[in-house]
Amino acid sequence: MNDTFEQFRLSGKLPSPSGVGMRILKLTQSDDFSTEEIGQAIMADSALTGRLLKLANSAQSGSVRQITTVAEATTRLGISTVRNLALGLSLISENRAGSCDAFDYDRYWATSLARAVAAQVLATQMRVGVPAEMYILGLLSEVGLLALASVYPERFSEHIPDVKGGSPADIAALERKLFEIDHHTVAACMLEEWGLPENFQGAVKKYEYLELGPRAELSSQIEILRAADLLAEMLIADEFTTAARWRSFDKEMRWLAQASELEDEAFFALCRSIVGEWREWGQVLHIPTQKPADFENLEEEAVKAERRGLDETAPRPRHKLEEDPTGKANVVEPEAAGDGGGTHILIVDDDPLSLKVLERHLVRAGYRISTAKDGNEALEVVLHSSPQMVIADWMMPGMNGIELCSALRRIESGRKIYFLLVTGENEDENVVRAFDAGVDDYLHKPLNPKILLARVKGGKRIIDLQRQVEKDQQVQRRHVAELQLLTRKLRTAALTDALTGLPNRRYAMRRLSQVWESTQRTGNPLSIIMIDIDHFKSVNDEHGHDAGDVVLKETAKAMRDAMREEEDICRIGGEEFLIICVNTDQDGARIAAERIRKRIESNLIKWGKFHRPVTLSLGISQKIDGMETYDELLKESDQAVYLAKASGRNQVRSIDEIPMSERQTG
Amino acid sequence: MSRDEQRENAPILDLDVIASLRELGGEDDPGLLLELVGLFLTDAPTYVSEIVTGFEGSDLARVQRASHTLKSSSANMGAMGLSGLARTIEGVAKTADMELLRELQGELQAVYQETAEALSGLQQ
Repeated sequence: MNDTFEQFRLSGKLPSPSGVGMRILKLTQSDDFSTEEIGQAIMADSALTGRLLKLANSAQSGSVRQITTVAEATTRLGISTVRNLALGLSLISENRAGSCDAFDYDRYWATSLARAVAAQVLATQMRVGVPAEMYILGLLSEVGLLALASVYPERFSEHIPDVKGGSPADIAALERKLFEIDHHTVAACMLEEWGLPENFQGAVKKYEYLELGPRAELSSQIEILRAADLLAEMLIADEFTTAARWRSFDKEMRWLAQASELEDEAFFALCRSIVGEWREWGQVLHIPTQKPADFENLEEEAVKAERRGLDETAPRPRHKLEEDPTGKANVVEPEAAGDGGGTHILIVDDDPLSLKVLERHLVRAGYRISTAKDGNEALEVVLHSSPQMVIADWMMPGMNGIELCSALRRIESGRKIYFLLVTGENEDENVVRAFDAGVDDYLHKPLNPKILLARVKGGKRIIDLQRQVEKDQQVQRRHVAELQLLTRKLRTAALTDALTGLPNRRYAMRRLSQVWESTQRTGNPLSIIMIDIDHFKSVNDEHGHDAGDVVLKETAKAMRDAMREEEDICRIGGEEFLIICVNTDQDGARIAAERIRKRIESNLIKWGKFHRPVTLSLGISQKIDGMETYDELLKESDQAVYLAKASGRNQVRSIDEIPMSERQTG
Repeated sequence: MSRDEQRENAPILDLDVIASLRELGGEDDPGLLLELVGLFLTDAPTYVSEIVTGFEGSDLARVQRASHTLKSSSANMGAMGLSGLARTIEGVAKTADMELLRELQGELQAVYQETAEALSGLQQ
């Protein structure tokens, strides 16, 4: 793994999936996870479950039946796809906002979401790859940018103007200068770390460099991703997009239409379906989207841009996309920086007037606000967009504020929410009941704006602290996971021969002892084959140790290829190997030994001036009654090897061919 | 001064509240005040008629709920007279003094009318 990335990781500032995503990641990194465990981890988060099922249904093509449970999604899409979806989706909820002032988080996610949807739709249409996987690839392909902004918020902000309008190669070069790593490499490392498919890494490293042209194709993952990226850029284009860029969109869209092998009308219909899904997903994930330009008349947009006389050097103002007005929970973006820092608050009141006044006060202080008019609607908003704070009126028809609070405290995503209850004047007695229900603080009506903002600020401090603690815990969890991984690697290393990758002598002796014990009980046959490479010393002497190493490696590999399941091969000395054949008698072992001998004698090894196959001397022994330890078995096979050598090498001999009187004992 | 006297003396419209709402909209949202007036004129009549219907059907819980909402909604608009009256009604509904309640709900119509007229004045 990349060293710079390693440092990033240790900083603990890299974007990472939220609790559930992290748990799933950990589960799938261990050796023995079960599909059920993953399913359970996902279902613990109801918002994630809903989104996952939506994706599972939209990503499966050609099937009529709705997927309604996580278990079903797992069966249909496969556990690894479900896992990747859960990871990707939980990454969004955890990184909707961040510490880099100049990084436009909304715009970033709106673009990523458009790319994800476009990749999925194009993959389905063109029958390339697995659509759900393409969704994840599209969603995460630029995650390196998010990471750079998270690790170096200030430096990233300072240099954003420098990259404006640069080619992908220029931008990557600048990033390498500033951060010693570019966002493509960061993204590839993150995807690797999260265990996403290996081919993703290559795709995210290269796709931005892929030139679109009149002969563009849509026949591979990377081409689909590149096309999806273009569509995403176009969907997000706005009045700050230059006339030149609109014209190139126009041209590139034509190339894409051609590549899709669709008639223009059908291609535009496909694009419209991408827009529809994008906006729908935006609503589900509470990512603001916009009505895109009419992509059938891009020239018109170019003309409009010219008329605006755009100053290309002017900085783009912070992104402001409206959320779909049909969305039940209307998220209002902060307009001015204040105390709020983008903290997401859900306010609940049945009186529209009170709701409006409260919303206005909080938006002005820089909070991100969702509203709901009763308890049930509030629950829905919590499930879909996980606000960090809820301010609810006590008296509401249906579910009142206290009932809403206890309902929230019973679900995973509601437990951490800071809950502020708004009460009437003379209800101090009831306030005790409110705290019992899990309320964090309360406010009297009529609301005094100053006191309101002070109380909310206090709540925000607690939320921020809690978040910090969670981040720390996440870092710790990651360190523990790393340590476990390292321990596992070390354990494997201690039993592996570094040069050939075969199990080493320690393993061989341990294994032989185990097998010996079990055959003592079962009485099953046990044979071993001792192997020596012929004239190996002269290889080292004449061609050097490097050639010797190559011979060892190639021979080991060829032997392993010729091996059967019940045969265990280890390197137990310089040019010495041992095969343990369980449940095999001497005749069976001889057949195996012959197979290996022939394989090696015809296996040409080329390295420098060394240019020939090597040969083996192989000696067989079998466990017989009266043998007390496996040492005797080893000694006998050694003698058989000696016989093979003495008889001219490149042959298989067994202990039986040596008269009893000539055998060495003890 | 008793609560009732406070209520009698409460202004129909607290102009300080109106000014602060105007200020809350500021330059970003100059239409906020009128929007809020519009919301009030739409919703408050519903609360008033809820109170009346509740009283007529002897559904005191309904009277309590509606007067509670009217109390805070009108306080938000600076309609202190209406808010105070709503608070009194909420309290009386708890004691189930039907005679007093009859009197108060008669008064409610009049105070609401007066408030609505004052607020409509802002719209011109």
